[in-house]
Amino acid sequence: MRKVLQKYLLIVVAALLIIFLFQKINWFPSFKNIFRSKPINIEETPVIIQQINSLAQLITVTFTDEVVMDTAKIGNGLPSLLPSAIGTVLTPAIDKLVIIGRGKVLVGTDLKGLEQKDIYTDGDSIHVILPRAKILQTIINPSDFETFIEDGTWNEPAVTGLKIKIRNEINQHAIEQNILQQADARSENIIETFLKNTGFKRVGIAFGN
Amino acid sequence: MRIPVLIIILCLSLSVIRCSSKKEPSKMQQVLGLQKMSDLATAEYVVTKIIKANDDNTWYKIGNRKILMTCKASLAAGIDLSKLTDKDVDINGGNISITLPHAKLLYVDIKPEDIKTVYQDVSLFRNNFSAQEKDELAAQAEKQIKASADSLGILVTAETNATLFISNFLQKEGFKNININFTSAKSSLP
Repeated sequence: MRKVLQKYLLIVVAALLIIFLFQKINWFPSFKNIFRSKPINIEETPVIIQQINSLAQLITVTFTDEVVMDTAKIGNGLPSLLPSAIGTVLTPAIDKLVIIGRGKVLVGTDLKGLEQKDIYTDGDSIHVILPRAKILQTIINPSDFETFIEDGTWNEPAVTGLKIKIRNEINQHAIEQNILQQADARSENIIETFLKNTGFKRVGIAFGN
Repeated sequence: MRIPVLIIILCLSLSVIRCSSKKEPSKMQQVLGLQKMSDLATAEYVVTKIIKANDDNTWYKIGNRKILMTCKASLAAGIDLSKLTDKDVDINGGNISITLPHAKLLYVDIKPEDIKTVYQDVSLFRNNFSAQEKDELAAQAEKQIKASADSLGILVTAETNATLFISNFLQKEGFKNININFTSAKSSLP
């Protein structure tokens, strides 16, 4: 009896070792992968150009932030019993959606509106009036979102609405960091360096409204 | 005596197999906060793309799921002015010659409101596409758009626009003859 048991155990150990070795050299799929969902891959479709715009935006500061936002609604699931001060209460099912968004705010000066009257030269001196810095772009791409909780069914406008709230919150955080003032100072510094490189000895920079 | 030894070997083998399962690399930590830049964005392309996916590859899932989405993206390219030094500028009276760095892709922006599901077909035994799954599909599209930037010609347009903008700026400064060219080494896409 004992010998038979030993024999079976040896067979099991040998089989496991063989499977292990085969997995190491990728001759055998791992147990984990057998029941893993295959990734959904999108097809290669063409990228169509709709519009070409010329810009003159001097991006001087970027602000990166992470915001978590959630929303809830009464769902279609089964109601649950919850304990309360007056005993157990039948409460409706709640659908929850929690999204984490990592965004980047690009701030700088739009030089497109710079006109001849904004630049005044006198020998080796130059005076430039720059427009004030503004938020040029807030970027939160699909790869920057993470859905942390998605309970129940959520339609597209609700999900998009929450993502827009995240973007607005990141913009707000950027403004609270005095990013516009910092961008103005940086633009001044870059333009001054550029003008000095083009031969001007004295450079004066002011900001318009 | 031999049975306990065999059991120990068996346990060790199992633990080795368990430990050998590779862990997914964690997402690179992003640096949060402020960062100084000196990029002059000179060209923006607005592009559209259809996102087409078919989920029928997992053997134990009964039924199929198909989805068709559209997305609109903005791509911007420009030059990094921090790379411009006094060595790249040559002034001779009213003549100026500037060597600019090559244009690079500055950003790809796909706004959440610009991604729309136009069609989806889900079998009886399958769940609808979740928000997370749709984001993952759109993220693949984002990657494809980023990869196609060079072939769209945005870098050439950005360099042409940069030449025009800087020439106009230097004209306003009073220069008569302006010569703008780009460095010989071409920078790669981010």
